[in-house]
Amino acid sequence: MHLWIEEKELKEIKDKFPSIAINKEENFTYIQVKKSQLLEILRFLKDRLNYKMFIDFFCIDFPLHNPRFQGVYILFSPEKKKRVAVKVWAEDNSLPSVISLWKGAKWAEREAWDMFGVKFEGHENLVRMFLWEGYKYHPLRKDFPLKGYEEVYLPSLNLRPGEIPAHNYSPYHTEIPTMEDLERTQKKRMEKRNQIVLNWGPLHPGTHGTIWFLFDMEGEYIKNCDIILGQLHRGVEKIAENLTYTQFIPYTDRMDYISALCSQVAYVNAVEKLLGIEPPEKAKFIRTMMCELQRINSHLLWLGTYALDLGALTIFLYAFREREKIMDIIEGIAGIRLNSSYIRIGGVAKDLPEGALDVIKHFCEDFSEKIKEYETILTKNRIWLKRNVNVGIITEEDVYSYGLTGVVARSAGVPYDIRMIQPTDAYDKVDFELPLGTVGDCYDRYLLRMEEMRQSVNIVRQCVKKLEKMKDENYIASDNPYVLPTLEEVFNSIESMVKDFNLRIYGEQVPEGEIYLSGENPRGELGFYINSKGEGRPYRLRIRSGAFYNLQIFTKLIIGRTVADAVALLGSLDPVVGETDR
Amino acid sequence: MVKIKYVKRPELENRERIFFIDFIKGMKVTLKNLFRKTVTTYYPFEKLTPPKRFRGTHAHRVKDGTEPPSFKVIEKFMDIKDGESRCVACYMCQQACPVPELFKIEAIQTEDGRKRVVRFDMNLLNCMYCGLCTEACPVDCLIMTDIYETAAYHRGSCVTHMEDMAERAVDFDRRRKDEPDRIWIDDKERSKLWGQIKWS
Amino acid sequence: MELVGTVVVLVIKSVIFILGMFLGAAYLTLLERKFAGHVQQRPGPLHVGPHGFLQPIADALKVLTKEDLVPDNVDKVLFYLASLMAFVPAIMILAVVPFGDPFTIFGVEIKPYITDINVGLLLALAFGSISIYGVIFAGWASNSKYPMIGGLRKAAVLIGYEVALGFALVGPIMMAGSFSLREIVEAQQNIWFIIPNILAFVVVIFCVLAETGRTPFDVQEAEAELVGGYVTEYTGMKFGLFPLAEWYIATFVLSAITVILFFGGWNPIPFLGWLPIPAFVWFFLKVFLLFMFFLWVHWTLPRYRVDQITELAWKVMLPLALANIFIVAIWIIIFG
Repeated sequence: MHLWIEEKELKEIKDKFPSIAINKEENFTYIQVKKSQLLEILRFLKDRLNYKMFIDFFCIDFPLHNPRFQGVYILFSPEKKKRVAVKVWAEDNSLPSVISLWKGAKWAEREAWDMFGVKFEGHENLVRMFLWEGYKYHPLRKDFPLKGYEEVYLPSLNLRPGEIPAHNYSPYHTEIPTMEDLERTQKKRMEKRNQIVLNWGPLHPGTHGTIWFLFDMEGEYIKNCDIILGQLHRGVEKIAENLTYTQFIPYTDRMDYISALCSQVAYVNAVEKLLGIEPPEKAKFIRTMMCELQRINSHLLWLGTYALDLGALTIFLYAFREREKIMDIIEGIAGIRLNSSYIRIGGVAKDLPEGALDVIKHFCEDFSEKIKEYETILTKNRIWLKRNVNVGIITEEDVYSYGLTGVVARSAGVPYDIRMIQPTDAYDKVDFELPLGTVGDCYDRYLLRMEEMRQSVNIVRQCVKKLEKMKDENYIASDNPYVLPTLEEVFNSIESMVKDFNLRIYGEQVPEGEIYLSGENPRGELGFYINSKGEGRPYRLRIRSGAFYNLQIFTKLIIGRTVADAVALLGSLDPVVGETDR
Repeated sequence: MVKIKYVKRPELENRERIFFIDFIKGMKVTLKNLFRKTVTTYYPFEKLTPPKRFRGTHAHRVKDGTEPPSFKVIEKFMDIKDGESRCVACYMCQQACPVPELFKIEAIQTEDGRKRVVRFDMNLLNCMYCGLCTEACPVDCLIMTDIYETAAYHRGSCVTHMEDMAERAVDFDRRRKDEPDRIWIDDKERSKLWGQIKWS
Repeated sequence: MELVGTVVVLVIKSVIFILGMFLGAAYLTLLERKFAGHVQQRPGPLHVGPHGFLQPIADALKVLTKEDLVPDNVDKVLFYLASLMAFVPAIMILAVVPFGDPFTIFGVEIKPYITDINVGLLLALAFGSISIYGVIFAGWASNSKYPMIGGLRKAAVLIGYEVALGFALVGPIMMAGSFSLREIVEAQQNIWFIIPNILAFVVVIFCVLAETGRTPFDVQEAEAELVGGYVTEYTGMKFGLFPLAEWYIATFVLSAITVILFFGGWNPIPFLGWLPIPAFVWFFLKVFLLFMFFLWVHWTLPRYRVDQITELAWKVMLPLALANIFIVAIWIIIFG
């Protein structure tokens, strides 16, 4: 099931703007426009054709092409449930900023500037997104080496030669920011206008990772706020360009490390679609079940830390008690608790072990009771109500303008759930309810996540019932030429061994093409755009992170509120730094 | 089928507000938990056995007559004695690895023209334990064991060599080779964590 | 001669009280940790001594032998003074808290209190108020942003709740007709003062939680917002004194005062007076139960925002305390 714009509307655009070129494919439909017409066409798409939700913006580098950089906008129409992509070449290395149309473009454009050095005319504060001010390079350009330019001497790696572990530790390192660099970065982001500037982060118990908030405060009230990201930036997109499609799977775990399985599934689905692989039915149900378990796991971590932030210390351990059980299940099935790397192209890595379904069934029974316990302590507690109700209200307009997805969008009453609008795996074969909020405040987001956990348990139950009947079926479509054979096949047949060698060495030779496909992560829409040039490695892999876009609205919502609300608000937006920074 | 529903926002009634019913209900839950059994394990004194699929420190299976057919095909080109690692230096693990620098594999040609693996080092500091290398091994040599306590005092000690790996695999196979592929093994220890839940 | 005797007795008593309180507070930490542990289905401290029984001693040794760091840019005098200002007034309240009726052992009459002055309750309130300075000093002297916000928050909370607490205590005082804590207990032999003073009791519970900085009022060190609040820059024993004073000694002493005011002090629980239990056991039993109640609240509820706390103090607690005075006045008119 694809979600791309229909022929009729493409025609309408073509009639209005004859100079555009349309490329309609099953996986990716885009309109190629000229830079001078970009804003006009985007406005037409937004206002006239209702493509009002901003999904993503990113750049692609073609070093041999002139102009060198290509910008890609992906938009979504909530009424028609259709996507459209707009491509534009960045002549003179610059593009017009679209902040006037969508506020959510602000960070995406900053990221493009940071990574590619594409300028944006009319951007309100075009500073680096992840790297620090004064960094000389733009790392996602194709001419930037994977290891970076090793130019800083780090003697600490060489102080005790006897302890250096064998191989290739070079004493030279890529550039690292100094204190002055960080200070410059901070100054560029925000000016002090009020009483004190509070550096809330980068290492602070309330920020859930390494986000660096700057609060310009008047007493306890925050008058201005900015966020400095990038402390966990590892250049996952760059790494992906140098790995085969299978090798990248463990890296998807490490983006949103709290819901690793969901990220894997979203990535693998995109690759499979591009390769035209259909995983077996059993693998689909296993994936759905594992995803939902991971969603409960992720929401439990959120519940625990959110309650901890708001002072309810005990809930934290109650939530972790249950989370531990899911971790045990995932450990038993995948082998590792957190970064499981269990999903493979064409299926899953291993079959379900003996007793797994039984354990999951018992967990579902037990968990429904435990969730009641959490709700008794929190839901109607007057303090909980006071801290949550009417804090950080998000409107429907915000959702479209900022590209908010996941629970944050649904709390504002927007029924945007990838599981519903573009069901992958077995999501079209299970029944569940999609909870929506009515107000859009923190309390709604709390209620939604609790309800989602209940729905997830429901889905897991249905999957278990289905899987019990599929005991002996195949769990990976290893007869497909693009799918790695299982170990038994390699041991016993020379053909499989050769196929295995080929796929490991050259990678999956994905046919030339593009795809944008997303999955519903616990933190919002996790989209993967893959541009393949017919090689074993992606030419460009862009990760549209839900948390990245969701976090953007924080600066708007917090202004005029207190530090205590910042905790509640950040908790309810629930970003994971691994995913925002990537 | 997906159904859309709006969540109900519960209101605190006046009766509940005046008599602190919300607090009392919450405190009842914590009191109930006060008398439940603890769910923790006392880690350094008490260790849980990981499931058989657990991906811990790497090991090399040795040549002991249980090799898969694929090994038998390659064996005649190799100089491997019984009880030695059955690595054939095909470099597949390195190819499959997302961080290939962590492997250091060297093989030489012996006088009779056969191949002998002389070095197989893994720098586990760079390893992310994704298990792709074990899935790539065509002769069932490289495996992952259930050893998870890998801390060391020196970075140098985090590099594991072929002989250690062979030893580790022998130990692992002795302990767990015949175990069924169950979700986890020691129900008794797990039941502590899981409380009252029963499973077959 | 008589003066010397009094002084010697007073000194001995004070030493016993202070040492007892120190040891008691140390074991209250263990109690809290054990309680919190089991509420959260984990065992709490377990390995120092049988069932962690020697944990407080290990903690004390650890905190005493820690390096005593003083950051460069702090106001040194206030920085040192702050931890004392928080701790000393809390323990000084003990001077006026009676733990039982005088009794005789071997022909010597022993009074289980240090002094019994006729303004005991006022003195206790006054000492309680002084500890605000410790908090404000700590926040200011640390020369850091988080401690300052934390200190000011706590000051705002304390000021609000001191007033409400003061008015809430008027009810029992009116009924007893005395400020002396001992006389208040004696006045409750027939009926505990909680009967007409139920509103005041609710107010006092909230006030004790607020004054001792326990959830739902622990805004001053809300670790998700302010890292450690006003103790962020403190280390070693200077740090240790704050929680010891606030969470344990103050909670314990205020629980004792609450028991004296509302639950008949060392009078036995109704219908159980025939049990052969000494008075001070009754007293400690009640204090213990109240202390556990505070722990229980602490480990269950989330926390308020600071503006909500002060709003609660001025808009709800103060009117309730005033209403209580009114009710008690009518009660006295009717029942004498």
